Amino acid sequence: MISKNLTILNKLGLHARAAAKLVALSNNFKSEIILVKDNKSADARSIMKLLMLSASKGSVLEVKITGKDQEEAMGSIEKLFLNGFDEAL
Amino acid sequence: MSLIINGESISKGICIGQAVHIDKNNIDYAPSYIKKSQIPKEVEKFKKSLVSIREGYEKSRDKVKDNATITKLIETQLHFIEDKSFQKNITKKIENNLYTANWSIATEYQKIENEFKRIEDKYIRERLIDIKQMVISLLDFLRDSKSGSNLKKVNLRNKIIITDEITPKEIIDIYYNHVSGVITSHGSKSSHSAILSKSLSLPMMVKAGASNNIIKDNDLLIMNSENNEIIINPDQNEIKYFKSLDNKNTSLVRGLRKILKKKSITNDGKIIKIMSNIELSEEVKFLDKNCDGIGLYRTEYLYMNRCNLPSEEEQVLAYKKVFKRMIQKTVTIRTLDIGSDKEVSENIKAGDIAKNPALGLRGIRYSLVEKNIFKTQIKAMLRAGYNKKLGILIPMITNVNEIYMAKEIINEAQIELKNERKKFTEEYMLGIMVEVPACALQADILSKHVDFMSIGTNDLVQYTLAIDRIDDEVSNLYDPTEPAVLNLIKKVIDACNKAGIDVSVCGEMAGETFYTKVLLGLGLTSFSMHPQVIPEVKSIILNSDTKKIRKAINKILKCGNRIMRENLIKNL
Repeated sequence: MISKNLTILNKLGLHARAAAKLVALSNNFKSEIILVKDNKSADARSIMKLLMLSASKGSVLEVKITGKDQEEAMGSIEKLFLNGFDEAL
Repeated sequence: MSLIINGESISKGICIGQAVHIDKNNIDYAPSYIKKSQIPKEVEKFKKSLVSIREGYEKSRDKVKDNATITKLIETQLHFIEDKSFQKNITKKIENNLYTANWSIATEYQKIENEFKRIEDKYIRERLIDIKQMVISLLDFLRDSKSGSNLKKVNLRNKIIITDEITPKEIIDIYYNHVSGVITSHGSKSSHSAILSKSLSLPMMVKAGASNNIIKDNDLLIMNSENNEIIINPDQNEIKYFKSLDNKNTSLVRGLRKILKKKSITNDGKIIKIMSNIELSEEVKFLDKNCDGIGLYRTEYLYMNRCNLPSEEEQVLAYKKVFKRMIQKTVTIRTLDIGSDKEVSENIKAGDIAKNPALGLRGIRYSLVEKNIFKTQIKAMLRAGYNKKLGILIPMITNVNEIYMAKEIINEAQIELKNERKKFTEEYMLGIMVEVPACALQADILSKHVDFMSIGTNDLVQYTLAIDRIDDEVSNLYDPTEPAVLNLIKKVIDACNKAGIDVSVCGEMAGETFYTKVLLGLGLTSFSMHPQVIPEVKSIILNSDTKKIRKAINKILKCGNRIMRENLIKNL
């Protein structure tokens, strides 16, 4: 398992469309991907669970990935976070 | 004994009918179980409902391929449907708890709702609406009902509908179901639904806060707009009295109708143009022969009640229907004006991510982003307007640049039509809606670039006074006679007169008799309003002396005190 703390940079936070992007991206990998915030965890493949994390701009999420392609998955997800989900910052 | 509660009336008259509650957010939480042997069948049923809803969305998505905003919205909805944890939890409930698919979904939704209510971020919290919508669709499918909205499941003929709030789309639905009236516990007189029900002469009362709890299904109701009251279970005498009043009203209306035949001219000989606002091409059938044309044809409704966009051909047919009845008269068609309170359909929502839609992507701003939707509509207008008097009206103009860009697209539309060898008009009139204070303030500059202006007072008042007309807390501060507003209107009228172009008022102010003389005083000679109110406004115009009013108006323009101002207006 690898883990990393990533910050939400975009203005609207992890809202529906951003979460949808994360789901779509996670579906490309085989590893288990879990996001944790304030003792709540969410499967990165469930848009509802992601929204329930209530992650607005500036929140820090712990991303935990377990599986064969974990490094690759972490790289892609980190990139998505750094790009602010391709939205306005 | 009868009971009386209060609301705010939208339209005039008396309406008598039986109450029927419409709960639009109907999720049934009643427990229901299955037998162990039924598990596979029940899981299968649930999966089928998911597939059906998904296919519906995919179909809509394929229809609007060109529209990136809508496609993205649908993609997000699809993610909700495909949510594995949602599916897993529901399947578990069926398999382990022996819940029916319906009850499993309902209880899972309840859990999600509780979680979402705790979310601090308002914007994320509001996405619960999308999930709720999906859950309702799933439950509707499982109930084997053919239609989505439960508005359609009850016989509504001659009934009075009681509900929290109602959308413009639902008003159209119930109108065609021959409903007698509508009472909402929330809402506002100036909402789009209210405007629509007024124009369809559908009796409606809003803000009847107590209606939801006190009125029961099948109660007999009298809606008396005169006193803004609703009488619940009236006695025989009351019924008799109001029925006679209703008849008297009808004859009064007939009397006013005679006015329609008279020439529209003031006491001092000024000719005043009185045009109609319409929302549906069907409405044109009800218009009086003597009306001076269509000052505002709102086209949003062509885009409503559907998941795809209206084609060019379909729009040509609708516009032609209006032109056919308006011989030798101008028909002013407003291009799609979505955003703010005007939700066109689940699929076409302007400014989806806007926190403040009134200041977001709406009107011409949306059209300049979604150029293809705009161009298709322009092409349809130009084709329907062949050999007719067409006015193209552009909403929400803020600066001259937007006029340039709109003109460019209109030119492109003409070139395309030429290449397609289609008949179209080259002699249309181009006009702008004056709704944004920035537009009113530079009316003299903008007047050089357009053929006419139309003042949309509802939004102009809202933007000038910074008042959301739908917000119950401040809607009492919404006053079109505030000097700031009246001075802006005067500025626009003066600028247009100087430039020699037509100017009219098409907002609600034009249709309310209280403001008729004020507008005449500001120099207005062209009104556009709901057809229903024309007789009353016209009777005031016929009895006005514009010379006298114009002298008195300056005092009103300077009067900051609302009560004093209202008195001055009453004495005009």
